Amino acid sequence: MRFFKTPNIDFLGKRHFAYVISLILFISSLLIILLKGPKYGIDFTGGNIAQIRFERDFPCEIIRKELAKIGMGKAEIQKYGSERNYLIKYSEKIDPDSLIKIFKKNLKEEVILERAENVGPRVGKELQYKAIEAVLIGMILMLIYIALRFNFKFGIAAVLALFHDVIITLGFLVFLNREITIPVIAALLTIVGYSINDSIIVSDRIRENLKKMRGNFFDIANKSINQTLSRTIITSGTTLIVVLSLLFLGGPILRDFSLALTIGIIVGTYSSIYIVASIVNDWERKR
Amino acid sequence: MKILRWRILLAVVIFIIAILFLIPSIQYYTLSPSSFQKMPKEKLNSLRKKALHLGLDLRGGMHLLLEVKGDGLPKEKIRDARDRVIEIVRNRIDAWGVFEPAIQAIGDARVLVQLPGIMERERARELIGKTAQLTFHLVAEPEEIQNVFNLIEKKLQEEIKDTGVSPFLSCLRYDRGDIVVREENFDSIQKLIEKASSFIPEKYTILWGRIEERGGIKIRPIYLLKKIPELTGEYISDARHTIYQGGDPSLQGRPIVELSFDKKGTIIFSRVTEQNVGKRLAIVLDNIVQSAPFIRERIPTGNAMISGMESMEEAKELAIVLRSGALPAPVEVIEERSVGPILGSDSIKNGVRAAIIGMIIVFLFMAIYYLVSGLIANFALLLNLILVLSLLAAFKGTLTLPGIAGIILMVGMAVDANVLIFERIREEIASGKSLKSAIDTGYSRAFITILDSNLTTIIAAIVLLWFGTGPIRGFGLTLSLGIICSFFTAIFITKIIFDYMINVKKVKKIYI
Repeated sequence: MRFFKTPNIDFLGKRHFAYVISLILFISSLLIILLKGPKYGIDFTGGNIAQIRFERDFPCEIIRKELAKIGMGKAEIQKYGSERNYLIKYSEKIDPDSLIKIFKKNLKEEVILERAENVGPRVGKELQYKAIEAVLIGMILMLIYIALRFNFKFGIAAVLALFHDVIITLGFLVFLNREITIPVIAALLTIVGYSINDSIIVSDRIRENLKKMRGNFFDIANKSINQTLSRTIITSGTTLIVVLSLLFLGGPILRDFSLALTIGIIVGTYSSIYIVASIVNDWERKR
Repeated sequence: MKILRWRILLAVVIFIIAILFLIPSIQYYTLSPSSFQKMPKEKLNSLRKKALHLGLDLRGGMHLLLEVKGDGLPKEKIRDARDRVIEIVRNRIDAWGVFEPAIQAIGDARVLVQLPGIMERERARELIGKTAQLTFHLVAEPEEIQNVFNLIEKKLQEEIKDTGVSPFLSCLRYDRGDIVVREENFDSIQKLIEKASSFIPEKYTILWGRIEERGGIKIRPIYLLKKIPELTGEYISDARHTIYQGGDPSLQGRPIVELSFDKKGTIIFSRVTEQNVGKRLAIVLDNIVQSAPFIRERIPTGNAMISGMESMEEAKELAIVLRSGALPAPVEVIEERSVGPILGSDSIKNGVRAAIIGMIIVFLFMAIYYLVSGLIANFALLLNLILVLSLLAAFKGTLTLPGIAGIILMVGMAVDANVLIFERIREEIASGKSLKSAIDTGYSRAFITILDSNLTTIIAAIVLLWFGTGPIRGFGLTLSLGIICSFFTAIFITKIIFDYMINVKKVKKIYI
């Protein structure tokens, strides 16, 4: 079976359209990140998480009222998978076990503490630095790899695509009000690796064909993208399948992580098809 | 042809080894609750040690990061305090009976404590948070002990209204001057003592010693002590382990611990030793008697010596215990991540479900899109999964929830290698090459591409492995292992199968 017998899609011809879409996405992502600001998880801000489970479905409102009574009106309550499970995020210095006791006493309900996390403010700062360090070192290693592996123009194009992918993914997460946690940072780093990997395949084929074929860059690049299209679609497709299965079946703990991967893979695939070669093409023509 | 035979042999050997490493995990995780109960403890523990290690997020448990608050203290002092904290916490956790706790130093001032399978937060916090209590108590005289123990026996007999049986005394033995109880009787004797506690005269208390092995039998000494301590650990200024080099020939070359008291402690210690020559003084840490040496003479210098240790290691431990009585700085829990066992098993269920469904769809897709070749690629993927899991088990890696995610992601990505190869082969066939040469060129051309297209993902995964903390390291681990193994399975193994089909089975057409 095959999806495309001999595909002949004019990707580069539609590059201006792609540029516009990418710019809109990129700038609005940047604006959302800068204006709205990412919501950081307790990994980075410090604080407490108590994941609780009731024996039966339980309205969120009552929990909120109960918390307000003890002066924890600012606590964040999140439904977690079902109406029985809730995640309470708060910064007050109250142990989750005490919360459970209060619930049990005042609500006369069976409540279990399923997960308790506490990150001290200093540990939060350290994890922040560590995450930044990991992302920076990851980026530097990738840039070194790109510098060794690509020629100058393709390298710049790949780096631009990389930023494009990461910023848009991050923008989506902030827009959807997702928390930035350590797993999400890990997902972003994985996307960085994935984005380059996709760009490599396409630009390698372009360089190979530039040596073999006659003709202008535009046509050869278009042909190369078409030649690698099956592979790009299939690999992205299978990766997307598993990430989606993680997103929908992997449980609430991995949800933000798999959401980040899902967005990143879609954007990364798009940019390796439409953006990388287009940038090099316009650069070549200017000369 | 000959080479092909060797390649097949190599592949088979590798997978036999891989499966051998996985067998304990399969046995352990498929145990039914009833056979779990029936299995002897020793065997269960050895199986559990060889089986794939699950992270705290999957099996449930507590992860606590402690920090010694020693602002302004010099580095060595803080490091020393950290080691004492480790010793204290280990003692207390061992007394609690947690299976396979992990306690390790992190940097100069921190201690990481991991307690698998346990989510008794209050108890754990109390255990770790409270400062060590070191006290010195006089051991009661033999006749006092006899009186009190006889009393306990009598009262217990009255309770069960049967004077014919001996519930308490029959479990006690004399051993090298100590009264000892077999470890297996510890719980029942402890309950009896609790029951009889109201009959024990006010001035005494019964405390246990440490578990020891004497003549191959695990025992615990039991002590009757004066309740009010003669001295407490706050008066100790130092404790060192060393080899005896004094005048007593019977102690020559034996490990000992030298103690120094501060000024006030020296005065008290001098008085206590003077008044109680010939008696035993028990050194008690957190209500457990560490040792109970005899007082040989009055000690006016504030320097004491404890002998009777079996090894230098034991002397060192005791010295640490003595010094830890006076912890120079408080300890604080600065990070906690605890997961209950139900949530842990839910996470396993979710992770495995996502993995199975994701894999089935990928497998179906590959089989439909590439037909026979797709089946070969699927076979390689399965082998890849076995290889990754067995490497984790063999090298004691920990499988976490993000680790399962890494395996799932690896399944999607590892397909890439075969896709690249198959697409190349299709192109080569389209350009008119024979099947055999198309396959050979397909593999050789795609190899470099596969190598460097995977390299960036490996770089990202290794960065995560380096910098990540806790469960997320598991993601870096399985993802990088999976991609590295896929070089072997997706290239080496599938090529063997193709070569076998073409060279041995003389297949003329393979569906790609």
